[in-house]
Amino acid sequence: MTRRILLSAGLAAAGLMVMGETLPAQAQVRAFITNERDHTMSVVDLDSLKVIETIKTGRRPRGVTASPDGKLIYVAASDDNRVEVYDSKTFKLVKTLRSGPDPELFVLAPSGNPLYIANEDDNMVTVVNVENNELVAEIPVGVEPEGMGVSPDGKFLVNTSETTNMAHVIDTKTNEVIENILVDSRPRIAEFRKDGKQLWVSAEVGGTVAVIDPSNWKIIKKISFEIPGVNKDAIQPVGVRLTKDGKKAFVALGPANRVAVVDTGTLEVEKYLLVGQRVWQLAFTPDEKLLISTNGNSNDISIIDVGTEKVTKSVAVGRSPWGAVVVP
Amino acid sequence: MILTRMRPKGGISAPLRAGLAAALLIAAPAAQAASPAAGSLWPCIQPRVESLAAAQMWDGPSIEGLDWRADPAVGDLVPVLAARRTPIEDADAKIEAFAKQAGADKDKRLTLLFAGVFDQINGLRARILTGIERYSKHQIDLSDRIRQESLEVARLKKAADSDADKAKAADAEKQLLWDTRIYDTRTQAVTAVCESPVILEQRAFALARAIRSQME
Repeated sequence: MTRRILLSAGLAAAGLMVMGETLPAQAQVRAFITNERDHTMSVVDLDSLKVIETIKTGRRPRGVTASPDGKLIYVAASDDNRVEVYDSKTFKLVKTLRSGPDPELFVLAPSGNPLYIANEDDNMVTVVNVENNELVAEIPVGVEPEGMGVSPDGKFLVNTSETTNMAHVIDTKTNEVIENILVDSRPRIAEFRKDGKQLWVSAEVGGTVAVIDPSNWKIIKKISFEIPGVNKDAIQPVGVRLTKDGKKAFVALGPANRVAVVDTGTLEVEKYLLVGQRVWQLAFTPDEKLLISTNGNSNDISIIDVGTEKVTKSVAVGRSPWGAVVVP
Repeated sequence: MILTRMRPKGGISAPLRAGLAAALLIAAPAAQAASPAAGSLWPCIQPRVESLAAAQMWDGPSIEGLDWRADPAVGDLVPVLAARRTPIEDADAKIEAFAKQAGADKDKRLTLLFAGVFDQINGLRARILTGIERYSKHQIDLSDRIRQESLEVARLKKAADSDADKAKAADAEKQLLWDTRIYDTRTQAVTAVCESPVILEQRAFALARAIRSQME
């Protein structure tokens, strides 16, 4: 290991001297993409934009996230009813965690522990200690819980329920629901702005994104989307990501095959970027220069240059790519 | 209804899938018969989408009203690109070659090329949708027949006194088994059948992307 680090440092130094020299594997920025239909996870090197590894996972991998230090990758193996934890460098399975039935999406507390898991089949949010796999709490929520967002200070957890059409706000100290916000049909994703002053909730069937003020849990605005020539039914907002500076939001629009770029100040859509088919989830690189979208029907990911707001490339991955996370 | 949203187990091999797609096309009537209530025969988990929208795969200039056949090179290339037997890598290479020799009007001609590909694939897809519904209709008819046959078998067996009657019941039972077997096989193929429109949409999207990437 020590030798490896020394070698990496040496090579990195050499890389600095010879511009454009590729860095060793250890220094690569990597995207982890869960392929729902292949029961695998593709690892994409974001320098070369090549798939460098395909990891066999449990069945129907969907939600994926990384520990705050980027060392561990958590995967929700929905049909195996467990969370799998992988080493982000060796790609080896480190351990599995309990998840409750049919885990779909989850979110880590900002500190890295616990893990909050939505159980689609049994109307619960399961809270698990990632260190010792202990069950911390089971919180009853609405029907078909799905999206999970946690406030930057870790105090509030928001879960969306697909059938109840609500965003449930949970106090993470007491693990109790303190507020229910009615949004449009089939809410999918809940995402806080990094300053904690906005909460974005996408509604797949409703075709809107509700922007909520967390100081009173009231809806500030419902953003709708219009793309000339694309049927309203095909515009299905799912993945939402906001930049660290809080200025821009990116919304994946499902079978409209586009990602909307939204100004978080005016809450107006600025642009639509054509990506791949049935765009689902989004993930930034740590430096936020690139945004990755998973495209479930074209079986690829699109690489979006955040600065120029242009789609620069697509990379083929496994079948039905679903979730994405990027680690340094 | 028995056929709605069925989820057969197991996959279907690629050659069989191709064969099925061909069968769907042959089965499709030349003139579109007035169908029963829209969507009532649709056996797929995937929602029935009548036709593709160009805007779902294309953010270039509008293709509305373009006569792509007026450009002979485009007219020649479109069927080759649209045909599923052309591997997508080969299609990409052909698009690139076309772009290279397209001259000053490159973007215009590439737009025409997309118009043609879209037109062809959308047309093919519409015929396949009709074929899928016919397939579904056959299954519904067959399931009705199986129900009748099973009632008949039960009746014959109960009433069978003589050897001749017993033989008759056995024959009816054999027929019932065969029909059930055919029904099951066809049910298992529904997944592959339903994939056909999806595969076509994927192809249209991949070609649109390849064409668009050659434009300035």
